[in-house]
Amino acid sequence: MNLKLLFNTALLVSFTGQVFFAQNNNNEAVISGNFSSTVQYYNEDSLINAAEPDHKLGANSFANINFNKGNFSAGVRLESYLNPLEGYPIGFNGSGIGYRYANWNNDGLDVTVGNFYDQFGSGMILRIWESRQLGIDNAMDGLKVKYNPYKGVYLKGLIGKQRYRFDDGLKNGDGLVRGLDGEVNINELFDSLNNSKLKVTIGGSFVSKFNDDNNTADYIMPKNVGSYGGRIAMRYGKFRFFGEYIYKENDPYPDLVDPEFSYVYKNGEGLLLNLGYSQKGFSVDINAKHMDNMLWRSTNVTVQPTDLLIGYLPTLSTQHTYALAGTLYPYVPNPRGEIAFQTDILYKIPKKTKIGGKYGWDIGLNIATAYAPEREFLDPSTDTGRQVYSTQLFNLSDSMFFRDINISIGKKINKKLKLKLKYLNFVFDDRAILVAKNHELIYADIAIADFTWKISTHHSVRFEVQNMWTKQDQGNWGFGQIEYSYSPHWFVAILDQYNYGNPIETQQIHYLLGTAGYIKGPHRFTVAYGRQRAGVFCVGGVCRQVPASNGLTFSITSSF
Amino acid sequence: MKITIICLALLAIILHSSCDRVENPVVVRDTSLDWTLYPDADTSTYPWPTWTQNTNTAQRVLLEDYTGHTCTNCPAAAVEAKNIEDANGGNVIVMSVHASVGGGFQQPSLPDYPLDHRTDAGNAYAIAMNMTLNPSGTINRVITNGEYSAFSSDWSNLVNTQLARTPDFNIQCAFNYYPQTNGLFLHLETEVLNDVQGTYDIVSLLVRDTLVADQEFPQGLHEEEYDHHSVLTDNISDIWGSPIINGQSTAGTKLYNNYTYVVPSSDTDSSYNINNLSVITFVSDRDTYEVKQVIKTPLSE
Repeated sequence: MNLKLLFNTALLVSFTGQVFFAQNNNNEAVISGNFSSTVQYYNEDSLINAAEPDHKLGANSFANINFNKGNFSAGVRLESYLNPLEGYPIGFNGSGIGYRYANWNNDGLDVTVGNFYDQFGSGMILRIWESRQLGIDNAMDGLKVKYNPYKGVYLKGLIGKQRYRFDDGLKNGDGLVRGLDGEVNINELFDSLNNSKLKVTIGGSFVSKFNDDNNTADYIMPKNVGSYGGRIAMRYGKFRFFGEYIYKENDPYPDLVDPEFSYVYKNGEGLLLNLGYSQKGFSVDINAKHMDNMLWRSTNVTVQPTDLLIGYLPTLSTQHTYALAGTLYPYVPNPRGEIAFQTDILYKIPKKTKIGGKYGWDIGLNIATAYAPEREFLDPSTDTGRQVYSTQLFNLSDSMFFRDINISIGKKINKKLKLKLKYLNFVFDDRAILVAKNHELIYADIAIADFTWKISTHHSVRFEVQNMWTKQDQGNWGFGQIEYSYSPHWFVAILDQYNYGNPIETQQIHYLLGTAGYIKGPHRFTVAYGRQRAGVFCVGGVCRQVPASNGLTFSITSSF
Repeated sequence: MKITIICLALLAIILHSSCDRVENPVVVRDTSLDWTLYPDADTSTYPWPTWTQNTNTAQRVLLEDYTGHTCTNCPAAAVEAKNIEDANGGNVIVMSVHASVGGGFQQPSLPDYPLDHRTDAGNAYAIAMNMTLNPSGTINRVITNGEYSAFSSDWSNLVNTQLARTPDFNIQCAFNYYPQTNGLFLHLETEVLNDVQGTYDIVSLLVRDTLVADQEFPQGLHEEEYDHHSVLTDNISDIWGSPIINGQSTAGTKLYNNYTYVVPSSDTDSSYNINNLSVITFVSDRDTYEVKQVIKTPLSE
């Protein structure tokens, strides 16, 4: 009853745009928080297949409220989906408390009860995280203990269930997750190595899950599944290296897309390697990844793609922010397995040189690619262990999932004008998650020009022009945007995306969208009206489909 | 510090050992197998065979000796068959079939020949291949001079002809026998060695290695304790086997068959002691009956 009252009060305050009062009396107690709400009113637009839902209006809102005093902190997140925005993952409905926790730490011991997020190593074995934009939230609900028993030694243990649904409040999945992580900083551990040029940290993790969700009559399911691995991070001068290997025991899932991969009992493995070098004006990063059968959830039944994930499938590709490159064909790691490589080079031609001119040049080159592993499929009649196939580390097949070669050039021309140019070449296969209209190998080229003209101290205009050429899927796209900012408070923008190359003439549509915003201190108000095309929204290789829409969108964010 | 590491290691070991590793996850739904013969209710624990590469290169020969316990010339033919078998180091497999089209020499006859050694399989084979005479035999069921039937005097030459052939198939056999249920689980791997075209079956038959029983000799002599050798006793597969190829099959193809069989109790007939039993398995052409490859697997423990 008290929680409901608290929530109702918070929700009322949230919708009126006001915020909780922050209190800080000489470090005695601090209440802080942030708030966000996005409200969208829908128009029907049959041309772009945008439906007008019966409820006409969707609203996603949340507010984090945290209390801190000394070594103690606690907080809640109030969430509201009335109704959820179109395209938001299912499983978000109503209003209530979606997250609550209490934490205290003392003398090297840190205890959290309730909900928490965390990550072991790169996240392959455990990454508990949330993205409200994506509609991902796999928060743990249980207990987490961190302990620092000796200098340089960091231990972590956790147990709990994962958030699965939000239905007027938090609904956890039935699966149990247990994890241990230890990390040793060699340089902190040994005094003699404190000032060594070589910095080394080693770590190891063990995570197991228990669930008996899957009652298939066809297979004997493992109820307890373990995953474990180790990692090392080194730095020597300008060089750095990170490597992590994770092994996952038999963990079969149904695969509704390809029955051949359904209920694979083969152990999974993931190897992630990174070698980097950086100095002033130049850096290079080389990454390699081998992942096989590393889908890792706290349930073994079919759920939505981002539900109940324990492990994270890292993507070795650039997350593009420009609209055509970022939302039409973004790469999503293939959960069945892939071998991927990426090289990222940044170079700054120094300023005040013959080539660099007064301000220098920023040049970036990024090459990323992913292939299916070479799989030797076993004879089903003798494969009594249902291993299904065998693979070898970094033995890739000729089946390319994805390739992205992009080069960017940034140049400040003078005090008022900045220019960015970018060219991208994509080869994209979406067998794992259908992104295009049809499954096919897509070849695309994208060119981008981005100019910023600073008219005066408070006034600036940004022009952005993009074009995509492809003979597959929906054909060529054009994009144009003009954004005017009157700092520090106002901005207004208009953009158009035009699918002029669509092979279906009636689908050669303009997606015109106007946006305006007002910023005051920690508060930001934005209003947008127009068409938004269907696309894919990604964060760190995790994506969700966004349907086409037409209407008015209002959003507000604030913090205190 | 040390205590921390030790505790951590112990905890990791405990957690690690708590993982469920499922070796045979597929719930067996093969209705051709009688899982009541497997003593453990959990069929996932069944020890399925792990096949290794079959390195055999020899063409083996099945010599079927069609015989009868009142056929006075049959013991001499049996000696010839045994001699050929012994002379070829396991590449010739003898199977004594108590059968003929008329069945006169095989009928029980009191008081001296009370037992009936006939089998459904033997009777079917005799009729199909028109085995009207005893003793007579087939060599890999190949037709010679228009007949399957060959006199024992010709067996040696015919066997040599067959031994010189290049095999088109290889067979491996593995089994598990559970005395509690008298259950025999038989597993067969057939490998195609050369591209073949046609309709092929795999046949598994139970033989008793030695059956001590009555036999009539020339001049009406009655031998009460005659050692009948490798006597066809029952069919484990269907009489004509299980189809494995219908059409074309390429070299390297491997085919698998599994059977369960209730072994007759040795309590009432000691000749069914598991140590006296073998399984003869062969691949045959369904249209011509020709045996393409054969092996014999003793069930002795």
